[in-house]
Amino acid sequence: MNKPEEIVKDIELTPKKGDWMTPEVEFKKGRYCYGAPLKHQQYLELPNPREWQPSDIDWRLPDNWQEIILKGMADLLKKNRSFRLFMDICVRCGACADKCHFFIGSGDPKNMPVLRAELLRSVYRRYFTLQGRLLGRLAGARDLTVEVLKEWFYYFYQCTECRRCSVYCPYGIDTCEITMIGRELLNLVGCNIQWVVEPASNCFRTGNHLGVPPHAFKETFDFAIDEIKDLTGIKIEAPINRKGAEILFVAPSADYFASPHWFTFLGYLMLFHEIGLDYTWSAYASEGGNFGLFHSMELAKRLNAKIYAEAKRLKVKWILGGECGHMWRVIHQYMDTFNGPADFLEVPVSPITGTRFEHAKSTKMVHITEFTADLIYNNILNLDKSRNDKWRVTFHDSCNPARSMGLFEEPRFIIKNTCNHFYEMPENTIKERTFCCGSGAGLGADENIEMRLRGGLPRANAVDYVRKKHGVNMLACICAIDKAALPPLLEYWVPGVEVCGVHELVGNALIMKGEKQRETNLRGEPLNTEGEAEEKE
Amino acid sequence: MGLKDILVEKRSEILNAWSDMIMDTYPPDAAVFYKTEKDRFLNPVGYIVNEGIGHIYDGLLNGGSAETLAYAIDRIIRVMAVQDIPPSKAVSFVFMLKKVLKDLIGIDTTNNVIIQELNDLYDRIEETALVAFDVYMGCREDISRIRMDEIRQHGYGATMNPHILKRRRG
Repeated sequence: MNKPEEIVKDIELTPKKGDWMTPEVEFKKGRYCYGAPLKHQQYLELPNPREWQPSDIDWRLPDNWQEIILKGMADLLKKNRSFRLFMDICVRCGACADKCHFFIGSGDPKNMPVLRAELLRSVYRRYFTLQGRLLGRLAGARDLTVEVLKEWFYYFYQCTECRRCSVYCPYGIDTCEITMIGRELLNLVGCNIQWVVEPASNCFRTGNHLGVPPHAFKETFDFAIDEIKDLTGIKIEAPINRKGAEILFVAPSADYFASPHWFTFLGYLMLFHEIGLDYTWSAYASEGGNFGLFHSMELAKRLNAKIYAEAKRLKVKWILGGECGHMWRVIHQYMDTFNGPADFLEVPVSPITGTRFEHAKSTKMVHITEFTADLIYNNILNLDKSRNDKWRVTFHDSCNPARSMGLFEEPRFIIKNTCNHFYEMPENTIKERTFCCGSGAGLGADENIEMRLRGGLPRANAVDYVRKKHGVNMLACICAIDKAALPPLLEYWVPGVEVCGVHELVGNALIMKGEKQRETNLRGEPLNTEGEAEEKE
Repeated sequence: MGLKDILVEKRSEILNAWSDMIMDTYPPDAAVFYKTEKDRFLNPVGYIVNEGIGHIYDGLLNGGSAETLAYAIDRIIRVMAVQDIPPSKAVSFVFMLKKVLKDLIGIDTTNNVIIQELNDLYDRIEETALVAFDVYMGCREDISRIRMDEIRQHGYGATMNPHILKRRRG
């Protein structure tokens, strides 16, 4: 039996000693994502498929796993010049070190982007540089061991690929791409997670991440049409797979299936009806998101191709995209080299205002907030801001639309035209410096909840500030993962703040021709809430 | 000079030492960041800890409101409950104040009145640690409940829309 003083000795208040080069990870529940189920690995024909969990002691790697990884690394170095550049040019200045929400929230030094990258870079040095081969540890080089591989898995699945650190890198190193490469290498030996592989596999099978088959897809539209009729008295139409429509609209599948996304979905449908848009949804390209991006470039390319194949099949002129996050990273930064140029489509022109979206002339795809902001700017919409008076709104810049396409002003312009009460979070937590929700890039799994709550602390902390200062009770955003991840995050850190999409606010404020007196907002809550949003002293 | 006068006079010195001691439980790279970054939005952990221990210190000295004390403890413990920290380490930040006081206040050990006041203060600190343990458990229960809610409404980050559920059930 232990003596009291021996028990007390176990209460360790000082951090463990040791340098970063010694790989050491412990897979504790709540802090890692589960491995991908075998059937989904097989469906996508992924290498070394097996039932596997990160917490297993034996990962059952193929016998020649080191050879596979190093060959994969050599191939990627040859294929992606950016990868070699990012491996070589980092001077470890530390500008990125304190910019990661996971480091800020956890205090784990290996969440500093520079150090996370060093986990991979040290192996690159060992096998692909002369000084690494000759000097080993002295040159910051490490052998590729099982422990190193486990450490890669642990930390590359603790990066949401949000690219906040990249904003601060004086060399422009895209640390997100280092994580992407790290994950791609892990995939070569069959180490991947359920939350990425299953949605990607679903997307191949049914057209969307959630695995909604076409008849259920149609059914949800029928529900939405009924709901809009109840709300407004107007029976709208929502065309699906309609050949010859001018525009194909693609949204993340959560929009038509989940909450609070659903209310954004209603907002889209009401808006398109009101302006008489000649458009169609697709039951095949029924997913704007691209979980392939969190797996490998090849899978991202395959999923992205679906949207363009469908645009071609339906003979539309251009594509309008919904409130999604990483979808826009794919479109703006990869689509052209993946599957472009989309020269069978036309440069997008708004059929309502005549505005030509020159910036989308290559991808032919316009963001819904760009489209709606243009409608508002041209006074096309009749809006009653007071219908959103229940809400004191702040806006969370979703990482990918903000940092990958610089979409800052359009959503704000829409919110300011649909709400009377809008308050910005502090300047260093928004726009290109926005803090991630902590659940992006496939990390939104329930089993990973503690890690997500750590990573979401900086975002929640800024929300807490505007809640106390201005009485903010609604956080608007334009990303499906945000809409899923922020409600639990705020429930833990800032109870009393809800989450919505920007087009939910549009749907509330939109005065539709021939509509009945609205009694509730899209959530079914009474509109007459006078006094709830009075200025806070 | 009574104990309270000493503690008021040395408030910032004591709080700085207490804060440093808490931050030193993190790995060195994190400790440096948590101690030096003063922007409350870029360093929420540092800000929350420093704001919280200030409230706790004032509450212990002046018998501040139970709500303020509970709020301050909750803010700090809520952070530690999601970090890679065992419960013993999480609540230990309260006890650290005792060590800081022993090191810093340099009281006259022959003054029985002050000794008694100090013992009373130590008792209050220990009671505060007990509250911190309750708060820690509450936070862990919150995490568990949030996770359970997600599992119940599973669908790749998508909490299934209640309207659809209702209609499907008829």
